[in-house]
Amino acid sequence: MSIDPGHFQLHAHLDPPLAAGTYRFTASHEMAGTGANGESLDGSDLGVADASMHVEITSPRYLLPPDQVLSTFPPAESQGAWGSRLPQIVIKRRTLPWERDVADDSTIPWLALVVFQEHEAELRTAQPVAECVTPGLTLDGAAEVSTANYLAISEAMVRTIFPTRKDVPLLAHAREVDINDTELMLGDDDGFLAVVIANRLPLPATDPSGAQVPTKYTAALINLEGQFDTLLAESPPRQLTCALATAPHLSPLTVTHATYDHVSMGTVYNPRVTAGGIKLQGANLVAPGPQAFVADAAVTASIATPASGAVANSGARGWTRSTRQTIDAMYHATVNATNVAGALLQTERRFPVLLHWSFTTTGSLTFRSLMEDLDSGLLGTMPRDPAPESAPARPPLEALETGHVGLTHRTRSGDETRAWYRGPLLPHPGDERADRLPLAHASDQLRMYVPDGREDLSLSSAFEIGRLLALNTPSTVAALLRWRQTRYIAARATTIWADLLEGVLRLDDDLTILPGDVGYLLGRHLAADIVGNPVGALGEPLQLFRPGSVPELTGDPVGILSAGFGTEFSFRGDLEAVVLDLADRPPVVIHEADIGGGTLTGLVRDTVTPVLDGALDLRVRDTLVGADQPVFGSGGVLSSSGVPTIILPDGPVPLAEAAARLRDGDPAAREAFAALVGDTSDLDHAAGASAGSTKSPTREAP
Amino acid sequence: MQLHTTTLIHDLPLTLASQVAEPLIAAVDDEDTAMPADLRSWLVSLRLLNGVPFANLVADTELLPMESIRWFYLDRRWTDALVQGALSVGTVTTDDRVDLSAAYPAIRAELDTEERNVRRLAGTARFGGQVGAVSGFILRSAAVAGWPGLHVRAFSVDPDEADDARYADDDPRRLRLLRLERLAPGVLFCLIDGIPEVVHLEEPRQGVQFGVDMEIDGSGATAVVPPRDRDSFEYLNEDPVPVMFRSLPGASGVIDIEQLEKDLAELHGTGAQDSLDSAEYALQMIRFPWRQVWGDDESAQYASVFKATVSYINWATIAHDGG
Repeated sequence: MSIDPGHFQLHAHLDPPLAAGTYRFTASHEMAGTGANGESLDGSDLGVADASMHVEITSPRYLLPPDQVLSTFPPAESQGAWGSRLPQIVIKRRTLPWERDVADDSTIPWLALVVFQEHEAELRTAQPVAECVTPGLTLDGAAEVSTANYLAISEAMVRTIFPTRKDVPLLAHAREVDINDTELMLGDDDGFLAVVIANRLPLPATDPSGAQVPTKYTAALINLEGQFDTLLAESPPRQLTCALATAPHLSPLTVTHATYDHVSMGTVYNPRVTAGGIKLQGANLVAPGPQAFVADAAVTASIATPASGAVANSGARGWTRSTRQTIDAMYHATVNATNVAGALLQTERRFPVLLHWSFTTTGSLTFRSLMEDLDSGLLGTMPRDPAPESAPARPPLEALETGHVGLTHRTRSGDETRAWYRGPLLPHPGDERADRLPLAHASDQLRMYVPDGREDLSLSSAFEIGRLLALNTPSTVAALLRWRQTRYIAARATTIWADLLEGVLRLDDDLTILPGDVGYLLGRHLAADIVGNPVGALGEPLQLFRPGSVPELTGDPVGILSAGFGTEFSFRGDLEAVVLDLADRPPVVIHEADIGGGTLTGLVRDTVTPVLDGALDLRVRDTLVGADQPVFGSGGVLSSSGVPTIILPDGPVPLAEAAARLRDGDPAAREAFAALVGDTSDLDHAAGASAGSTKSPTREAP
Repeated sequence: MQLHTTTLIHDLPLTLASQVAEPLIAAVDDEDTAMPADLRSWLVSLRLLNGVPFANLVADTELLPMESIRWFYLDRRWTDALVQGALSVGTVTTDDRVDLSAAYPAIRAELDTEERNVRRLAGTARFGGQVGAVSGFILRSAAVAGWPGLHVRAFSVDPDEADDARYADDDPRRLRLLRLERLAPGVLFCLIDGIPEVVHLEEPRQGVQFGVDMEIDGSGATAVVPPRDRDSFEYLNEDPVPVMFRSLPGASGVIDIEQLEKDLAELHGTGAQDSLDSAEYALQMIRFPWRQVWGDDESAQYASVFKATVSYINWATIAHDGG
C-alpha cells in the first residue's frame, strides 16, 4: 500500500525475519524407493548425510552505526525550550528495535531512549565491551566492537527515570512514509523508519530562588538485554503536577577555625564532634536527592595520608599541609564520603549505550505562549510596561511620530547638546514618490537643522557608517579603487573626444556644443531633417498600387494570338479554320473590330498584313473579291456593283484581277496599289507573296 | 592629428553611445554591469543593513523592550546615504567626485534591482524591476533563542485558506524575504520585499515531534494531551487528557504512560480500549509546530499602535521655544 505525500502510517512493531543471533541450518534429505527385488527401501537404506551450515544474523548491539541514525530530536548540542517535547531518535533500519529478545516477547523492543541530567547517571566512554554491562552479566554472542560506551546508573535512579516494563513496548514504533516526501523521509531508502521515543520531558530545573535555569540533558539509546527485569514492573505513584528539579548549585564549604586547625595540623578530628561547626552544603555537588552523610572512615583515611612532599614542618607537631592542600583535602573528603555513601547504598547498573547526545533546555515557555504574549507594535511604540527607574540620570525617551528619537550629542567643539536621530527603520511608510537622495560626498552635507533648532543627524550618521564599513573591509576599498581606475580610462577617452570635437562642432561663433550634447544634438537634427524633407532623406514613398505595364506585341502575332495574348483563354484549336471562318463572314467584322486605337493603315501594315497574306495564300482573295459588300467600308475601294475594284489606268478592275496583275508584275497595278498604300515595299512583298493588293484599299485614290 | 571629418561624424554616435553607462540586468550574477560584481554584492548587502551597528538600527533600548515585536518600513534615503558613504571612500580630488556623480544614477538603479535578487534561490529566474517599499520586523523574544530556525512567511494578500494551511515555497502570494538574520541570540531581524498583509511566524519543523501541551506555573509543570481519533487523526471533541508524572523524588518530567493509557481508554476512538500499542501512543503524542499569524488589526487606530512621547504639537512648541 502506498502512502500519500504528506501522510505517514504508524506501525506498532515490525518483526524481523530472524532475530539477531547465531543459527545453524540443517538440510536433510530423505529418499525412498523400490529395490531390485521389489522390496521397499527407506532412509536407512538410502542414507543421505545432513548438511549443516552456521549463519550469524548480526545487528548493532553496542554501537549504532552513524548511517543508521536519520535524526535525533532535540538537535544535538542545541539550546532551546524543549520542555514540552519528548526526545526521540529515528533509525533507518526499521526492524532494529525488535531484532533482539529481552523478555521472550518479540513485540518488546530491546532499545530504550533514556534522558538524564548530568548528576543522575554517568556516561563512560571507550570502555572494553566486557565491562559495558553490569558486572556479573554476560551477553551471549559476538560483539561488533571492542570498546563501547556505557551508562553507569544507580538502581534507585533506574527506578526513578527509566521507563517501566510496560512502557518500553509503547516507546518504539515504526513509521511508513511516502518515499517521495523528502521532509518525512529524512534520507531513508525504503520509506520505513523505526522511531524510539523517550519517556521523559526534559523540563528545566530551578535555582534556589525559583527561577528556571538552563539545564543540560543527555539522551542515551541503551541496550536493555539481560537487564529488562531491572526496570520497574509497574509505574510508581503518580502526581498531576510535576515539581521541577532543583538545579545543582555550588556553595562554599565553610569550616570553623578549629576544624581547619585540625586538618592543617594533621591531627585526627571527629566530624561528629565538630558537626555543629561544619556545613557541608557542597554535598549538592554530587547528588541532590539523597542526604549526604560523612563516613568517618573515609575522612580519616583521607586525612591520615598526607601528601608526600607537602610536609612543611614534619619535625615538630606543626603544620603538615599548606592552606590550599588543606582545603583540597577537606573537599575530597566530603566528596569521597558522599560517593562512598552512594556506593554503599545503591548498586550500580551498567547499560551499553548505542548512541548518546546532549542538549540544553531553557525555560519553560512555550512558543505559543511567547508568541501570544508578544508586545507588537510599530517601531517607536513605547513598551507596555515602562522600564523601572533604574537609571535616574537618564532623561526620558523622546520619540517623535516621525520615528526620530532625541539623543545626546557631543559636538566637535565639545558642547553637550541634544540631536535628533532616526535609524533606517521607520514607523510609517516612506515616501516612494519623493526624489531620491542626491549624491553627497561628505557626511556634513547631510546634516540638517530642523525647525526646533536641533540637528538631525540621521542621514549623516548613515553616510559615516557606510564610509567606515567600507574602510573596514580592505577588499572593498581595493575594489573601489580598481573600479575607479577603469572608469578613469573611460573618462579620459571622453575628454580626448571633447577636445577633438571642439572645432568640429562649433556651429556658430557664440554657440559652442559641449561633448555631452553632441549625441542629443545629432539626434535632434536628424529628426528635424527627416521631418522637413522626407523625400530627400528617405526617398519617395511607396505607392499604394501601380498600373500594370502595357504588354508589347513582339514576335509572331499569330503565335501570340493563338496563345490568347498570354491570358488563360489561349486558343488551342485549328487557327486555319478560324481564319477561314473569319474570311467567310462579312468583312464588317474586321472593319468594326476594336483593334486598340491604331489607324487602319498602320494596322494593315503592321499587323493584319501577315494574316491577310496567309488568307490570300489560302485563296481567300477569291472569296473577298466575290463578296457583296465593300471590303473596307467607305474608305476602301468601292465599285458601284459592289465588287471590290481598284482603279487602274485602264479603268476599274476587280480587286482580284488587279492583284493578279500586281503579282504578275504589272507596273500599272503596282502604281495603283502604291497610290493607295503609299509604300511600295509592302507591295513588293505582297507581290512576292502574291497578296499585295487586297489589303490596301484604305484610301480613296486621289 | 589628422582628422577625417566624415569618418568622425560617422563614428561619433557609436562612440558616444558606447560611453554611456546604462544599467543592465545581469543575466548571470558574475557578469559585470555598471560596477564590478564583487563591489555590487558588497553594496547590496550594505543596502540590506548588513554590518550596521544595532544601536544605529534601534537607537534606544526602550524602543525594543523584552518580548516584543516591532514592525517598520525601511527608509530608502537612509540606505542611500549609507551607500553614498561607502562610495565616498577614496574620492580625494574634485575629479573623483565629478566622476562619481556621473556614475551614481546608474549605480543606484542597479543596486535597486540587485537588492531583490540577493536571496534568490539558485536556479530560479532573476527578478527585474526595482525594489519598492521594503518593510520588516525586529523580534526580541526568548522564542528566537529557544527555537532556532523559526519559519517566517510574508503574504501580500490575506490568504483565503485557514490559518494552518500549507503553502508552497513558490506561492505567488508570498513576499520574498530580503534578509532574515539573528542579530543577537534573542533578536531576529527580517526584511521583506514589499509591505505584507499577513506574516506567519512558525515554530521550526524538525520532522515529526512528540510531546504534550505544557504549562509551567511557578515550580511545577502540568501537561495535557488533546486526544485524537485513532483512524482519522482528528482531535476528538473531548477535554484534553491530563498527563501524570511519577511522583518519585528526582523523577522530574517522567511521564506515567500507564495512567495515560487508562485515561485514554475511557474515551471512545482513541484506540486505547483494547490496550494502547506503540503506534497509537505515538499518534496521540504527535505535536505540530505552532504558527503565529500576524495581520492587520482593523480595529486598531494609528494612535494606539504607535504612541510617541512627543507629539507633533509639542514638537512644534519645542521648535518655537528653541527658535
